[in-house]
Amino acid sequence: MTTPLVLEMLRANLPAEGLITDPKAIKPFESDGLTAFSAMPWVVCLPDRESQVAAVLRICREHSIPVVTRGAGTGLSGGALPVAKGVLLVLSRLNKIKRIDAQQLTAVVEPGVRNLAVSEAAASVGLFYAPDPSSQIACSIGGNVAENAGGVHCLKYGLTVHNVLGVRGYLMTGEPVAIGGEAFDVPGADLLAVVHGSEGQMVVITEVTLRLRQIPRSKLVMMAAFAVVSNAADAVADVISAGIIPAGMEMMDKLAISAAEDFVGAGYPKDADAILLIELDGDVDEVQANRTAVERVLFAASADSVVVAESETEQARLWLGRKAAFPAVGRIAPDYYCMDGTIPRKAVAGVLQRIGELSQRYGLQVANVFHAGDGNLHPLILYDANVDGELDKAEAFGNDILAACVEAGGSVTGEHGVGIEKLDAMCGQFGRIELEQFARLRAAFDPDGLLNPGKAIPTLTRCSEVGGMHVHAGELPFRHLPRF
Amino acid sequence: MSDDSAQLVDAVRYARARQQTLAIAGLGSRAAVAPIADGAVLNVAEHRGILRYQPEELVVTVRAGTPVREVIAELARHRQMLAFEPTSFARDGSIGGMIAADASGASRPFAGGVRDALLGVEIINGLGEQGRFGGEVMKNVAGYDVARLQCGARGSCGVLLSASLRVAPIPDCERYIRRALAVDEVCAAMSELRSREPSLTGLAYADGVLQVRVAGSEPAVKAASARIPGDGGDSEFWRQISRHAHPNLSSPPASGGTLWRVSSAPNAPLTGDELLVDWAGGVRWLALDSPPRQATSAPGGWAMAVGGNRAGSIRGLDQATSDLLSRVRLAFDPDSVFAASSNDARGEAKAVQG
Repeated sequence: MTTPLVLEMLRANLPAEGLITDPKAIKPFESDGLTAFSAMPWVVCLPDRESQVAAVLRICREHSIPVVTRGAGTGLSGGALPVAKGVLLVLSRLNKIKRIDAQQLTAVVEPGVRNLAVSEAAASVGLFYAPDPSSQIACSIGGNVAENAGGVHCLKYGLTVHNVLGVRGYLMTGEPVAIGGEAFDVPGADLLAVVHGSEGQMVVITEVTLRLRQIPRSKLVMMAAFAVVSNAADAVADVISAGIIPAGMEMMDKLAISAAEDFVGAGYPKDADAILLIELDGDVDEVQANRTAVERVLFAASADSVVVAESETEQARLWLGRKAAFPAVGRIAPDYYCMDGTIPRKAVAGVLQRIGELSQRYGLQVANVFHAGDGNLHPLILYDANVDGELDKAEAFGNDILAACVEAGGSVTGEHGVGIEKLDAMCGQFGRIELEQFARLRAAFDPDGLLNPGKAIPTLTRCSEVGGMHVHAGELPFRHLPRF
Repeated sequence: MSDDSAQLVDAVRYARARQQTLAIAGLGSRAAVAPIADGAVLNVAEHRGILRYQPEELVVTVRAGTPVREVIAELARHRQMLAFEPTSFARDGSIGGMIAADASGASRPFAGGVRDALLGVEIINGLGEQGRFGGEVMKNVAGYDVARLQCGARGSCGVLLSASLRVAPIPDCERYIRRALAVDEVCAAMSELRSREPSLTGLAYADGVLQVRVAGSEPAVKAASARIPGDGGDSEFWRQISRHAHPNLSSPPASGGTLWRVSSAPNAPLTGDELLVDWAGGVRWLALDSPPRQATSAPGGWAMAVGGNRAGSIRGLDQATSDLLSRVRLAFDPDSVFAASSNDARGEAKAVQG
C-alpha cells in the first residue's frame, strides 16, 4: 500500500483537522519538555474519540508504522519525542472528566485531562487527586500514567501507580484492554502496575480511573534553615525516625535558595546553606502535635531557625519559591540540565558532597532542589549551550551524578522517566538479564515493537558501546528477540 | 539465615534442560488460595533471613523464604511495621508467598496493599537467570515495574528470591468501634465514613454489625472516635479476619457450597447473602454452589474460590486480559518450567469459560 492511501485511511478515521501533514504545523510537536532533542514525525493524529484511537493503531499496525503517543508534551526525558517516519498520536483532545464519584472516591477521566483539573473538579465534594508533578497545571493524566509521575507529596500519598485503580485502552493491534476498574485489586499478576511507567510502549490509554482522597482538615508548612547541608540531610532522617511521615519534605541548597529568592521573594534566608520545607497535614490536633515534635527534631539537628506558616497565604508563599525553583535557576544561566536520580536517605549528604566535587571538576555550577523525604534529587546543572562543548560537559556531569546515585544504591530516575535521555545511564543500572527480560515483557504487549520505539529500555548493543555492560566478543544472546 | 539462591538457580536450569516442571513452594500455608502445583517441588522455604533493615530508610529487604512473622517481630523492635497489613491462614506464611498471593488485609483501601509497598525484587526466571528489578528507594521509574508485577502472580513470572518492602511507623494508638446496621444501609455508611475520616484502617461488616478500626496519632484517633457513632469494640474481630480465622470465613462454609472472595466496586449493592464484607465494601465473602457471575460484572470486579476443590481459581477475567497474562507469563517462563496448579490463574482461558 502506498503512503497516500495510508494517509487517506487515517483521514477517514479522524475528525476534521485531526490529521496534520503540513511540516509547519507539525513543527510545534517536534519536542516534548526535553527540548534538547527534536524529531519531525511523518504525521500528527489528533483523535477526539476512543474509536479513532483504535482505528489509527490498526492502520499503523497493518503498515508497520511506528506510533508515539503524546499528551501535553511536558515530559522531561523525551518520552514523547516523535519518531521520524512515524505517527505522533496526540491524545490532548480526549479531555473529558467523565465522572467524579464522591461515594467511591474515584474520578473516571480521559487521558488528555490535565492533572490539576482533576483536583479542581473534585474540590467541591471535598476530595483531591494526590500526585502533583511540578507541571500539574499543564501535564495530563495519560502522560502521568505513562511516566508514573510523582510530585512533592509522594512521601505520604505515593506515586501515580498508588493512585490509579484502573486503565482502559488499546494494544498496538487495536485490541481493547481493560486492566483494573473500580475494585481495589486485580486478578493475577499485577498488569496495572506494569502499565505505569511503561512510557507508552505497552498500552495506548483512553480512560483512567483515579483514586481520590479527602482534603485534609488542617495543614501547615514549616521552613527550617541550616548553616550546614549535611545537618539538613540528617534532619530529614531524624523526622522519619521520630515516626512522623510529613505530606512533603523538600530541600534546597544555597544556589537554589538564592535564585528562588531573587525571582519570587518567598522569604527564604539567603545566608543559609540549605533549607527544608516540611508540610504536615491531617486532623487539627494531630498537625499541632506533629508540629511540636518536628520542631524539636529540627532544632536538635542544628537548625538555625524554623518558620511556621499556618495561613494559606503564608503557606503558598513558602511553596512558591520551591515551585518556582526551576524557572528561577533558568534566569541565572542560559541553560540548565535537570537530573532526577534517587538515593537512600542516608546517602543524601554523601551524594551532595560528591555533586559538589564534580561541579568543581567540570567547572559548571549546580543548584540542588529535591524531594528530600523520598531521596529524589533534582540537581540542576547550569551551562551555556552557545559555548562550544558545554552541553557535552553538562551531559557528562549528569551521567556522573546518576552513576553516583546507582553506586549509593539508588536509581537513575525517580519520576521523570528514562525516555530518550537516560538510555545510557540505564546500562549502568541494569545488566543483560534484566534488559532482555524487559524486552520480552514489552513484546508480550507489542510484539513488533511499534509503540514508542527506541525509548525507556536501551538495546544490548547500545550498552556494549557505552561500555556500561560487558558483552563477550560481541555475542548477543537471544538474537531472535526484538531490540529497541 | 541461609542463601540458597545458587542451588535454586541450578534447580531451575536443571529442570528446564530436562523439560521438567517445577512447583514453587514456600511454607505451604496458602493452599486455600494458591495450591501447590503438580511437578517437582522447588522449596524456597530454606532461603531465608533479613538482608538489610535500616529503620530510618523505611525499607526492609528479606529473602523470600523468611516467615512473615519473623519480619514483623524484627520491625516491631524498632516500632515499625510493614506499610500494609499482611494476611495469613492458620499457619504462618513466607514473604514470597505473601507477595505471590497478594495477601493484603483490611487496611488495603486506606494504606494500600502488598503491591503498594513493594519496591524491588530479585527473581529467577524460567530460563534460570537471576535478575534484580526495582530497588530499595521510594521512587524509581527506571525499567518496567517487574517488582510489582509479581504481586498476585503466584509464581507465574519467576521464583521470588528476595524483596524490598516499604515499612511504616506503628501508629501510637488504635481504636475499634462497632454498631448494629441493616444490610441495606451498609454501603452508604461505609462510603460516608471513607469520604470524611482520614484515620480509618478498617471498615467491615458481618452478622449485622458494622466494624470500624481507626489508627494513627493519639489526637487523630481521639478526634475520629468522637465523630464515629457506635460502641467501643476490640481487636479480636480484626485479628480473626487477618488470619482467615473468623467463623464466617471457614472453608467449606457451614451453609455448604464453596467460599468465594469477590473483589468489586466498594459501593456495588449488597445482596444480603454476604458472609462478611471487608475493604470498605470492596471485598465480599460468599458461600456459593456455583461460581459467581453477577458480582463480577462491574468494571474490574472478579472472584476467587478460597479452599475446596476449586481453591485459588479465578472468575471474571476477560479474554483479552487473560491472553495478555498468558503472554506475560511466557515472557518470564518461555518453556513453562513453572507448573500451574489446575486451578491457577494461569489456566486463564479455562477460568473465563468457567
